[in-house]
Amino acid sequence: MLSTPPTTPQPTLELTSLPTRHPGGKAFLENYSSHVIVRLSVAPTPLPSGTICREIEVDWLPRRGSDAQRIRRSIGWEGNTYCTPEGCAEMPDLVPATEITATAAVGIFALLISDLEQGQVCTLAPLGSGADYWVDIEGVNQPILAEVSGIRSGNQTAFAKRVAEKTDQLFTKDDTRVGFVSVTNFLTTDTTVHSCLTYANRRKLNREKRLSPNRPRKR
Amino acid sequence: MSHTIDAEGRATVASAQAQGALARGDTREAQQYSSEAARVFEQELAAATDDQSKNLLRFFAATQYYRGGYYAKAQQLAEKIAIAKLPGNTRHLLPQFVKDVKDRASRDYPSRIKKQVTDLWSVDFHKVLAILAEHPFAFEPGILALMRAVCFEATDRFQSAARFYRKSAGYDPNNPDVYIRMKDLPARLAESGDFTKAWEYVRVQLEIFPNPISKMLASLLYHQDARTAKDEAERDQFTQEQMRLFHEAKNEFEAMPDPVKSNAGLKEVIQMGYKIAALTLFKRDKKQDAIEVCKEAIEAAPELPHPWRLLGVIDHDNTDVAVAAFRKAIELGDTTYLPYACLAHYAMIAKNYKEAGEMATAATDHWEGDSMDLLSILYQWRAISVIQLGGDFEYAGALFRRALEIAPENEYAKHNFDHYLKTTKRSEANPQQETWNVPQFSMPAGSQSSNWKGDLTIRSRRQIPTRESVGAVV
Repeated sequence: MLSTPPTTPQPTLELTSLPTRHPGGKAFLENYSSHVIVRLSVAPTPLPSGTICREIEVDWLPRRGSDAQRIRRSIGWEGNTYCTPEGCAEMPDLVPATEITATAAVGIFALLISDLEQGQVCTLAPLGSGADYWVDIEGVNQPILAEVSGIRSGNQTAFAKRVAEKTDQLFTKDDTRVGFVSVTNFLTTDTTVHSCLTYANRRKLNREKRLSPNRPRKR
Repeated sequence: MSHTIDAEGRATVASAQAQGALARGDTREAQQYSSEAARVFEQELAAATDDQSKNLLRFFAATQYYRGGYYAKAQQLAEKIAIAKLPGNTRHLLPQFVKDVKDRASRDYPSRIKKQVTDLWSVDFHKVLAILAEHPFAFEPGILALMRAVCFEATDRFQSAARFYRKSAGYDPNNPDVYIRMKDLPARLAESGDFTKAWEYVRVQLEIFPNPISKMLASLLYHQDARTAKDEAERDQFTQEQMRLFHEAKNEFEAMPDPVKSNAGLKEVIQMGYKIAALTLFKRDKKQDAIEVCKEAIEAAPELPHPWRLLGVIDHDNTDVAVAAFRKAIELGDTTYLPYACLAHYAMIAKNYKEAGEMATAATDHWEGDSMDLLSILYQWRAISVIQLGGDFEYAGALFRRALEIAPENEYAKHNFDHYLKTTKRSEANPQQETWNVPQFSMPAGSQSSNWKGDLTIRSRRQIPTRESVGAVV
């Protein structure tokens, strides 16, 4: 059961802070922030011109300690010079929609992993339609693998399905025991932006699967 | 896997830069960055020791080549990837990737995409943009940018259009088609009388992509504004702007690459600017300046008839110069009635009826004007020439009748036809000795306006830009 999000104003995660959050953050800011701005303010939900931030809802399952919780964050693009309003308006005609969504999801992930888990994206290698990302967490010896995905617009079922797919994908890598899954849905049925950052553990997942009442039983 | 891939993040950054370049429509930069990222992976591949790292690095490098449009290289690498040796979370991506690479590396890929675009061209520009977004490397960067510019223009997104015309000119500085297409819409808007929208677009062009053609269009639009100015002060202001932009445009055009400045369609635009500038100066009693502009126009395009015609019109008081200029215009293939009409005029004054008759006939044959009085005058000159040369009197009568039909209120036409009827009745009369009222016309310099009709627009807008159609050097 997720805890309810607080109603107090939430911290704004500025895209311009990306260079201070990740080693390759300057490149993320220069090249990915426009995708984020487009998905948060141009399409699928056009916001009034001059808007400089948008609140998103995040289901966060932390790496350490507490249970899953629902939090809110604002994603801001104040002072971002890498995407002019005209450039943002043009982008949907220059880049395939799936690519804008996928890249925007990476931008959101880069902000959330830094803000919530103090992680740094150290390698990001786009691959076919997916990507491999390794995240450095302070105090952890090995980089942690992350699977990131975006949905332009979809309902809760589509979102849950994508999270499950990405979690499965994470553990298809033979030596992966833990990892992050981040999915962002840019238009839910109630017009909010919904994201998740889940720390997944293979052993815990297997145990849950074994205990699941829906699991087919051997005769 | 013992290898930490891209530990320094060089490929990560280059890949991100490639993606950013694509999002801005900078395809050549995207290729360079993708290639850089691929090379980083290939260097690591050379140093990798375990099979899993080697195959994953091959996959990464192939992906980067693919994303940069280097499909053959991507295919070469993809064929060497052992799927079983890839990490489990990556394995499932390979079959689709190999399929995509094979498709795009095939020989007919560019022509297939071109056909898709051709089928949708002028039908649905949004869909064309979507195809170009999916297949940015099926076209040369300059042509891709040009097609995008036309698509944006067709959907009234003038800023984006100007930005992509600028990109296209950056990629293909020698391609005149960039400027030809860019001037087409404002010229058509002006031609249809929508000066407000024409101005809107030309202002955007001047702001985003200042270039001699847009400046010349702006000069012509200022001239149009001057014609409808509310008072003399405003007219002066518009005329000053017209002349300022005219001078900038003609000088900058001279500095353009040869394939651009020798393009006939673009020369037309520049010559239109010369014409309007000369006529503006002439109307403002600056005849000598106007003649200088005409001479510059001839120097800029000595092979074209219109600057010669313009010189004849402006310097019409100087009969020798004017006659020589009109003859040169005809020699160079002038298809308008004007040089013939003017030469007929000088011949009538000189009582050279043979030439007057021939030139007036040629002028009526080439007639495209809208002054019925002038056309009537030409028929009367023909008739008078026939009579003066002792030709067929009945034929002359038919010409006088035609002159009156064309302009029933024209005093000369009425008088001459009436006189012809009376002369016919006096059979003893010698028509050559009769007193015909020889109508004169004033040189049409004052009536020459910035006529946009068909002068500047191209009719090939519905064709998609190709290297072949423009002789582009890519």
